[in-house]
Amino acid sequence: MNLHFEVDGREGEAEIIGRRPQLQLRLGESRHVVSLAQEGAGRFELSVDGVRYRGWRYVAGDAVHVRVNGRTYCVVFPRRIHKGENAGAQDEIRASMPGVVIAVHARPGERLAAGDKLLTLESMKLQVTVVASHASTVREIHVTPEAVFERGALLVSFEHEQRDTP
Amino acid sequence: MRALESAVRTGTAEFRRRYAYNKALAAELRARQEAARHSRPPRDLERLASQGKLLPRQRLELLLDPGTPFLELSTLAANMSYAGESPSASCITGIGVVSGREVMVHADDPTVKGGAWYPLTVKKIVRALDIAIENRLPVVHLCDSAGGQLMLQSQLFPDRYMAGRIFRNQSVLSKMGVKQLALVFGHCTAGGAYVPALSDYNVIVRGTGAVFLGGPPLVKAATGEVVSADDLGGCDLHTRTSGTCDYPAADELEAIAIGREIVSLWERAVKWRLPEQAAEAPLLDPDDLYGILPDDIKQTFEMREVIGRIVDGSRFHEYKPAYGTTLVCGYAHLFGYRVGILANNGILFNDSAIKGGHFIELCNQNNTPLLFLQNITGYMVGREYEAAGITKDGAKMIMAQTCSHVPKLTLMCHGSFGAGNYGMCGRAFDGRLLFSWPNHQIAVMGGEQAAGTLAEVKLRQLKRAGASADPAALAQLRAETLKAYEEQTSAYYSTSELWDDGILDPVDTRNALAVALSAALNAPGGIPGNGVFRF
Amino acid sequence: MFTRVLIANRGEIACRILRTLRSQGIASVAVYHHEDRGAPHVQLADQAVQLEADVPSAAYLDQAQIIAAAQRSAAQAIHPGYGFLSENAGFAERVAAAGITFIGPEAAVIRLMGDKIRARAFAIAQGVPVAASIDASDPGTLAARALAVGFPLLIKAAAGGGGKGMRIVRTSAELAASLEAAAAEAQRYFGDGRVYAERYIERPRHIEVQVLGDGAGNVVHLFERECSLQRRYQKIVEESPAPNLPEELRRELCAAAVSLARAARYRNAGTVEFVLAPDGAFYFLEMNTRLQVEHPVTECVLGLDLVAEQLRIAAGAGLAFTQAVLEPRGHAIECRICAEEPEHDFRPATGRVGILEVPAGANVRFDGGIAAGQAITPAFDSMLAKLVAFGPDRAAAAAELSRALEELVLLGVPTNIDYLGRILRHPQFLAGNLHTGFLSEHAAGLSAPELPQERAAATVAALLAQPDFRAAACDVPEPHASIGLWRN
Repeated sequence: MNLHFEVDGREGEAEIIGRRPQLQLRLGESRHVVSLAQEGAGRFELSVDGVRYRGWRYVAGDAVHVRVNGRTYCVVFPRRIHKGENAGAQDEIRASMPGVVIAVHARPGERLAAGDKLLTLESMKLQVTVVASHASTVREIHVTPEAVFERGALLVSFEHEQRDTP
Repeated sequence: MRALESAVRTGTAEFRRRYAYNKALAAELRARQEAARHSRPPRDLERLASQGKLLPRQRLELLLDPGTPFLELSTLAANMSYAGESPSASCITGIGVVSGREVMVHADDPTVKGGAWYPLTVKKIVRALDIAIENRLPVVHLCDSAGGQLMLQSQLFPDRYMAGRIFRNQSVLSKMGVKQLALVFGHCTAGGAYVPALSDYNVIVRGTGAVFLGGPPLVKAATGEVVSADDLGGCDLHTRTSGTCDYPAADELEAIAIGREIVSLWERAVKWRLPEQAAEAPLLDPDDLYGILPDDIKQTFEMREVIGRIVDGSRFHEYKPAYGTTLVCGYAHLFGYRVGILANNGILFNDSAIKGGHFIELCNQNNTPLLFLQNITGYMVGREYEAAGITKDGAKMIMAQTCSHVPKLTLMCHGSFGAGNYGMCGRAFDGRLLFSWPNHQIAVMGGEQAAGTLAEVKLRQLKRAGASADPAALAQLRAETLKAYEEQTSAYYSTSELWDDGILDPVDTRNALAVALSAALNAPGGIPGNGVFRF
Repeated sequence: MFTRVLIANRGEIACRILRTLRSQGIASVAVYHHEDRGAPHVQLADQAVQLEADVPSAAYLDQAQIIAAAQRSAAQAIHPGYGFLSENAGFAERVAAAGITFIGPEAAVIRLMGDKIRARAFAIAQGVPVAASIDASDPGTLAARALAVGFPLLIKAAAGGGGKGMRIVRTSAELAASLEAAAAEAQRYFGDGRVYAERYIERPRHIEVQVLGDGAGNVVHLFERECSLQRRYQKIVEESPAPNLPEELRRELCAAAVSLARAARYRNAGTVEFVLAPDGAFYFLEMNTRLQVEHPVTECVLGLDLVAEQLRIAAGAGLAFTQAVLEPRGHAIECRICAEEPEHDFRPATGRVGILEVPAGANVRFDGGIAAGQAITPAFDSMLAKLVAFGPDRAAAAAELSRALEELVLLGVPTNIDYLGRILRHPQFLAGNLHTGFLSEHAAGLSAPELPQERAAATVAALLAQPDFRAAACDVPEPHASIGLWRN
């Protein structure tokens, strides 16, 4: 299990080599011996290869901003787990239960972003708005307002897009 | 507790001869393990790569916490079966650390006949899950198997401890509250589909992962339906429609990342016993073990020299040192955990059997796990000993050992012959884990003894029939017996049949036992109590 | 003196003005857009009025709402700060028409100086040297007139500022196209497409003179500031006094500024900007009829509060001092802390102020408009704060500012803090060899040095802040942690 990171625009990977008597890490090609002295409220103090460093550290999402020796670094850790939004997205939307179309919000050929509205449907006295799950282009809308549909009915089809695996 | 002092003289010819012999055995072990783990036809490796799959050992290394030990079990299972078609019995099992938790890992090996299960594969998986049950170890399954080897189905399907036992064990684990995670990297077909289904959590890789009770060929044969593996039981079907699988993963790396995150949410085990003191490396050099172990199965060696090269600081508190001297008993520490050690320094007599039984009782009273170091050719035989009750005394030792509620570990250091195997916690006695050294041999009796006994019996038969003994025929009988014994008593045969949980290089013993003991302490001790001792 | 003043601004300058109001016991009214609701100037003011606008910056340009806010809160005066409406003559008129005092010059003077072409003409009339220039009219004679002035030329917007609409033209072939492009940009940014072109001075210094006028013809100067260190035509390091400036030249510059301001019967604070050529000739650039960003350095060397002077003048009390008593002492340097990435061509950055630790020191001044937790968005200007240091001489001031920059902690959004420190330690800066191309010329020497050990340490600190890595490093149980990497 290697942790990938990017600092100063350069990519690297980190690995834990050992933990006793001190933590030993590998960063890229070089190995380091680390011991943590203190931490708290954004401050840290640690020693790397026998040299003591004192500084500040702030975590913002996937990035950690570090200030040490009067210099600021930004270390970014790309996510390993994705929401899976792009992979294997469906090219069509079918009704999960019977109902009636209240409104159509998109047009064929329209390019949509994730979250853009497609249709408003009513089933079992409950209105629901169907939105695009990811960026896509509408190929065709197969229903019109006031149309009644069965479970499994084809409602919207999208242009097929080749997606890269994340 | 004083450190043991060594009486070994490393300069002698005997030491050097033994050293060369055992070092060569260790080298042979490593070479055979290396081949079993990695040697595959290039075509099988290419096929995996073309499917975008990682090798099972790559998956394993990514799963485990970096910089942590992995105790692989039964690497050489099936090495003497199926004409070598199933290296490592087509699967990997072992105990490691994932997200800070000790787990049992079971990984199918799709580089061997698509990961198909041979009878010994099933036995190895059942054994891994038995270990998980007995030690309350969570399990991570890395699934990628074509299903059972149809040609050998009668040996892997119908009986009580065959394939069904895998799924029975999974259900029992779940009932016990011991968690299981399955990462579906490839096909889980027929029974194999139950592995992820019976796991508490599972992750499936899109495109390559599939779960189905019947694969496409079976479905076509049964109903004529033509359907691809992905449509029949792939990621999207099972994560969106059927709900059989919990987490979709875009690729194997993501699946492993999700799996590690799931494990990180499992509660940490509460150990039955904790280390009493800080760990301390042995003072005596484990490398000397090569020179201490004999190069002849009939020869013996001083067990205290072995103990001193395994335990913390080489410190050993010997119990009842003046009595029953052919069995060494005492307390020591392994990475800070207290253990009670029983080690053979010769055959078992009345007094050593009694002492062993008593020491086992003391360890049970003191909640101390037991470690048996076997080198036993048997109990003493003869009229004098029978009259003194050696059978009763051996029975008492077996009773005490069997009824122990503390965890037991066994190491076959050299010979394990006959009834001595029983009292010293052989395979049948539910030790949590059992390992052998490469020089180990096991049989109901020694090969020469067996050859001699059979020849003696044959001779008597001929005499009763009034025929005369043909020396050549007798010699051939002796030779054939010896040859069969040689093959079937070796550690490699034993490990092939899964009579042990793996062969260890002697210098790896301390780490292996430490991982094993730590795993064992995840389960509380049993209910104390003994059967009837025949006094 | 006023009892209540409304600040028509935000961020650092709003907080700065608030500080003076507070010290004078004057009630303060802040205005803000919803996106600024957590900003320090809103929290610090006695009263705060929310303005409605679709785009956050538009709120601070909404004259009607601001005047209404002043009326509703019974503010007697409005301080416009810098930027936004501070040089909007129409706003000044409307404020006055509403019976509220506009803290600044008269609308007519704002209008005059705001039109760069008119301002230049005014300067010429006062005998203040002005760089030769041409306007964009009469395309037929354009090329000839350009040649008469001489290349290279610098095209500027008549109604512009802040570097927008500026272009350097080196050959007559590019002239027409550049003028057209600059005019389009000026139209887009300022609503006024008029451009003119001046002779471009190579390696010029940008020197400006602070003036204060009482509107009745009395003007004092508060000496000069050096503002040559610029990127994207924006100043980032300013100081007072200007280094390596002959005393004679200083006197001439200040006198020129005063005569200009006096001729305009200037009221309140203003700054006359000059370009100083390497040969010692100087030329009028423009006059800014407002308080400038870099006013603190003047305050430090003179021991004054310029905002207090502004209030005094606006309240009709006239100038507080004569020229004779003004004696600058010591040296002050200011640097502008901006949310940007110097290594990527200073492109503006966004983020959040995660940690803010302001350096301490009697000779250090931090003028900021940010608080910990505040989001930094593209909605507003990228300048977050100013850090100023004072010392008995230039070397001491530079050393003090460099130390303060090292101690300053602002984490969560990329900033130019490290870059500014490198400027202050650069030998050419310390030698005072400044000109507006300094940062480009010394770009190589100002780039961040490679410090592999330090970067490794920072990476380790970051890794250990990652919960997953930290757990993997620290939460592995015994005996596995002690055994380490081992396979049987």
